[in-house]
Amino acid sequence: MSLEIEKRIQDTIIEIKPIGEVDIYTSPELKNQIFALIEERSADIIIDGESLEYIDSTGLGALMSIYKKMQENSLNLKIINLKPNIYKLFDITGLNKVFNIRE
Amino acid sequence: MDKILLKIPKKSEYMSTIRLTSSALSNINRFNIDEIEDIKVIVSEICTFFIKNLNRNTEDFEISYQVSQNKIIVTVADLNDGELSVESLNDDMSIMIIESLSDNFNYDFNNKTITFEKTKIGVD
Repeated sequence: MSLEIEKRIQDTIIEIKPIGEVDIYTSPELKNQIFALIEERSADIIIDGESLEYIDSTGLGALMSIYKKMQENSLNLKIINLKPNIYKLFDITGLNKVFNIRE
Repeated sequence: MDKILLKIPKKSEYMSTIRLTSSALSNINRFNIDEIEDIKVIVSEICTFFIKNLNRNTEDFEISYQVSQNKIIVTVADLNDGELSVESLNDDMSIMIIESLSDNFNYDFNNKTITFEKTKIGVD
């Protein structure tokens, strides 16, 4: 399974929906696409994890880079609809305390 | 105890194949869904750790699965030349995840292998 990235752009919010797996192979693509959007739009971002089947440590690292980039630009990042198996990895690594994660 | 050996190129594009194989073998042994997910994540993170910390990739990964009634023992060997430093264990998210999810684990940096065990819940 690879990764597709759906984007829905509204006025001040961009909704990103990763579909599939974010791992050492696919995480650079996710990071690059979101970095480009931040440069282009300067909008808050919601990452919808409804169709995110897997994320590994490099995917979590990519999200951390995105979070830092957004903080530098005074923008907000929210993560929603994470599956329990995905949230477990945020919990293990302590990143559940860093990110704004909602159900 | 059955032993299965997977020899696969050390390339990031094969990670999903490694996860799929790990899940399938765990499923044969009737681990529950959470345990299968853990095994898949651990194997994937071990391979990711080697890819991140040992740059050479001309040789393969050799992943051995020893499957018995109540547990699975998985050893991932990076067959490439080169050295891993003990410092690579520090502040590494892969290591944090591997140590959290496995029941037993062992790093053999001389032979560039990492082994872990996962035992079925409710089985002594």
